[in-house]
Amino acid sequence: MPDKNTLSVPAIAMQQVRKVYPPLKRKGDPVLAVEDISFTVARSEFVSVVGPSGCGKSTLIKMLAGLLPITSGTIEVDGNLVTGPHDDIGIVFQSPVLLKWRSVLDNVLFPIDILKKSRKEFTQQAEELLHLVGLWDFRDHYPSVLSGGMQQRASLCRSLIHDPSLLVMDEPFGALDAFTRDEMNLELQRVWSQRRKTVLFITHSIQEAVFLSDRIVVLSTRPSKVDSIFTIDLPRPRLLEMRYSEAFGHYTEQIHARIMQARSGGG
Amino acid sequence: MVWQLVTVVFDIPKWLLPSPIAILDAMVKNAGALWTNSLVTLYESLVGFLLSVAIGVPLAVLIVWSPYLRNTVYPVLLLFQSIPKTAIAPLIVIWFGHGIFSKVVVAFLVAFFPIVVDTAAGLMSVEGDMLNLSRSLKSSRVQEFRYIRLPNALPYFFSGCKVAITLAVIGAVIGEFVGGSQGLGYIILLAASQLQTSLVFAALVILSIQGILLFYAIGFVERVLLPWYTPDTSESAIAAGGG
Repeated sequence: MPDKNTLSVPAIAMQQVRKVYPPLKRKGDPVLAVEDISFTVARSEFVSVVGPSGCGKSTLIKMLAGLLPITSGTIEVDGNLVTGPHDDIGIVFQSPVLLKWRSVLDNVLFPIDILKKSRKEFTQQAEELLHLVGLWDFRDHYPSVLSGGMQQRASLCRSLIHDPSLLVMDEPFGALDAFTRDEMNLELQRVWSQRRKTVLFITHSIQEAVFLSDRIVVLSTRPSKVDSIFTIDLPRPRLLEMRYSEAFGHYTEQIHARIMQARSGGG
Repeated sequence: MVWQLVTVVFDIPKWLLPSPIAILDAMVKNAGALWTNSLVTLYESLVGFLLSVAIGVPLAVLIVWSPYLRNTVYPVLLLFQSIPKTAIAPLIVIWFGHGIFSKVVVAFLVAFFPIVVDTAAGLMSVEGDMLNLSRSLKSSRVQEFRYIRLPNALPYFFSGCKVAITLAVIGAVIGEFVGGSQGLGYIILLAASQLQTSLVFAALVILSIQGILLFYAIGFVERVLLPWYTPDTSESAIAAGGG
């Protein structure tokens, strides 16, 4: 690997990414899911991707994680071309997908088992993470006794256990109620400010995106393209009350307008 | 009670429907024979069942592991399952003799299918994102089975076992019907031919007790091995205070 100045290389660089799925029916046409997506994410930056539903956000994440081949264009993570799975990534899905037969602590250690690393080395790290999200008292419980929010916290711990530089979250709080969601947003902001990961956050909620992000990428409807990119210039740490401030409202309004326009086929 | 009353009041002949007391009487009188023969049937059905687990589980893994095997082995299995085992039991006796082994084989054949089908279903019913997660960490297929698919299949495997164990008892009895000189099936056949109906009922009672005990034995093993598995979506006590 050539010597690279890690500060100047973006954490994620997408260039003209395109994804065509094979036809669903035998005689159907191939499905163009992602037409042309280019954007970069800097190290330790928190970037959200919002867009109308069905715009290929999940496809984008799978390609970023190396789970799905890219039809054309390139995705680079830390300057390395993505050609398959790369383990410097932590993923949080919309559903917590915890293993029912493992305790919370063992679930957090799951990536360590897969990566064939020593559990002993990472147990302390797992315990710290559980403390960080307030799940320490539940470390020996099975996930089935936890609430949705608690399960998602466990899932967040699991995504961080192998200390990946990149955290990818695919609508992680979409299934939670509004209050739990607010709580999780604060929690995530706190975790992010402590661990300084690069985060790519997919969401349906504009408010959530503005609250958490440094920048927001707005996608158009399928086949998706980058519609616009917003830089959120609000002070950190952000508080829930800030959502009612004028500056905050200005951002959500603008982004909302872009999405509405994208949905109606304009822009 | 009602049964006893009906048989006495309507004076039903003993060879048609014996009273519960008559059945009990037959049980006590033939206690020795019933005991030794029920042990034979128990042995046949247990060995047949264990054999179906020993062969069914690896087969289920193979079917899920390789799409090629799934497409070749599964249709053959289905074809085989569609043949009534009662119909081929005589063949089995011809091939494997009148001894205990042919009954084990029949028990195995009837118990085998639910084990394969249920275990395979459990191996396949894994959340897609769970697999995405492990694949994003470059998991191997062996890891995928070891850490995700096999534990996930356990509850399915056990419900297959519960069906299989009761079927295994039926299989053993069928085997004894077709050709044999011991076992509860043989007792039933012999007693029926002599119109000793109360003894037939006595054997039936023991057979059903056997089936129920085996069924609960598996339920017990399941509860011990899978403490995490709660068949009913139980209310979570902690969830309410989720702060």
